[in-house]
Amino acid sequence: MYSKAGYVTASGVGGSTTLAYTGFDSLALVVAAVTLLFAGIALLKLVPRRAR
Amino acid sequence: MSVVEEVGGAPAPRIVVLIPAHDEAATITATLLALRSQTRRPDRVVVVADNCADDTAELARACGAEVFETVGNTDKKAGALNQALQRRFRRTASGDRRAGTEAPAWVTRRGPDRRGPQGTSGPDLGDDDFVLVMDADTQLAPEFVAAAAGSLERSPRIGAAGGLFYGQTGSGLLGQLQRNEYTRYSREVGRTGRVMVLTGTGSMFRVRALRAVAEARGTTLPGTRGQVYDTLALTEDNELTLALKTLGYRLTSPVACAVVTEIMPTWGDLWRQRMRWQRGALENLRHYGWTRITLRYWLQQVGMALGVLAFQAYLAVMVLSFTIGTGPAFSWFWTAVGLVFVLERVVTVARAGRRAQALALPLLPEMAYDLFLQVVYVRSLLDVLRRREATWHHIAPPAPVAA
Repeated sequence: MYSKAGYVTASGVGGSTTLAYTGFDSLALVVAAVTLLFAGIALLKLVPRRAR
Repeated sequence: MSVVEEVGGAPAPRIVVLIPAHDEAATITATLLALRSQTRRPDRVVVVADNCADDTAELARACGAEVFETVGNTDKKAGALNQALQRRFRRTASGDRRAGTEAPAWVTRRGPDRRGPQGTSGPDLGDDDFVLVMDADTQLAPEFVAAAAGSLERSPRIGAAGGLFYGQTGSGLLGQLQRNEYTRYSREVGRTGRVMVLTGTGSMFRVRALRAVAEARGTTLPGTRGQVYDTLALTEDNELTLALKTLGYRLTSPVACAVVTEIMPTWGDLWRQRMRWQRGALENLRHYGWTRITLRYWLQQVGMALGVLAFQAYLAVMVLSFTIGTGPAFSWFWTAVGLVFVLERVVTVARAGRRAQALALPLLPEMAYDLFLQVVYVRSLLDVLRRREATWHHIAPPAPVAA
């Protein structure tokens, strides 16, 4: 509730990855790596983890 | 349920609802009427009228609720709840109710506020009873009380059951953005079972746990000894969550414990609300320090900070790609990665309906919303570091529409 920016940010970073710049400079590489990391987190969120 | 009704030989826990209300005349009647539709009815409903300049108290009485009016409270919601818990209820043990409704001789009476309403069994509150604290502008799902009480009854180690909150309708695009955010948060809590905060919009507590918190304040916990809520906390519900966890209580949020609460109607209101939330969360952590309990909260804050940096780096790369180069080149791989995010955004708001999904699908509106929340985060972080004074923000609810 009080700390949700992490969740939304996770998707936000990679949110427009279809537009992502995949050039050769280091900044783009870092962004690409982080995007892949967040994509993994996004996949995990789609998996049901707990039956209640 | 009668106070002398027993389950398995032991008295059934009584359920008392506390509703702190500051000028909530527009919403209090609907909130109280909605409580009547609970599948497990609470034993008492007490509206804590705090510095009201409207007829909140009269409306509450008209709906059959007890009213406790605060006296000289300057500590907002936390102070109002502390007054109600300290002055309205006598302390009893569960066995006291077996012998009848009269309070035992050892129970101290401290002033007229402890008088119970006529026709009730007396204003006692045993350690094994439950207290539901809810906002005056919040509607509980009909199964809320039953589900929350049921989870508390399953184990004495469970100190509280928190609600999963959803946003009210209205307020256009901004309202839908908040509803999407709330829906994702509640989905995540329901999916993982990890309760990060017992929302003030609606959470049920074991009285024994609240009393343990009150007794630990000033020593193990921040705050003033004897008070359940820390009146210095901007986000008193978040602070109480940390307090209960620190004392070793387990917390739960049953899926059936849904609450529908207000959303901010304007960007300015949202800014002030989120500044208080974020600032409060950071200050709660600062007060509790680095412990086994706060580790996950600290990591969450670090994750948010890294998220801000990553988002800014992403935006920088995008700007550079258009200004220096010819824009991002098409790639099947990155298109597939992008579709993962689209899928996650759309699926995680499925519960909120097609409008929610339609807003999530293009990504950009929610990215702009993310950026707004990140600005709030950075600003509140700077304010904490600079120790700027934070303020509360009360939204005056709209007047009810005449039937």
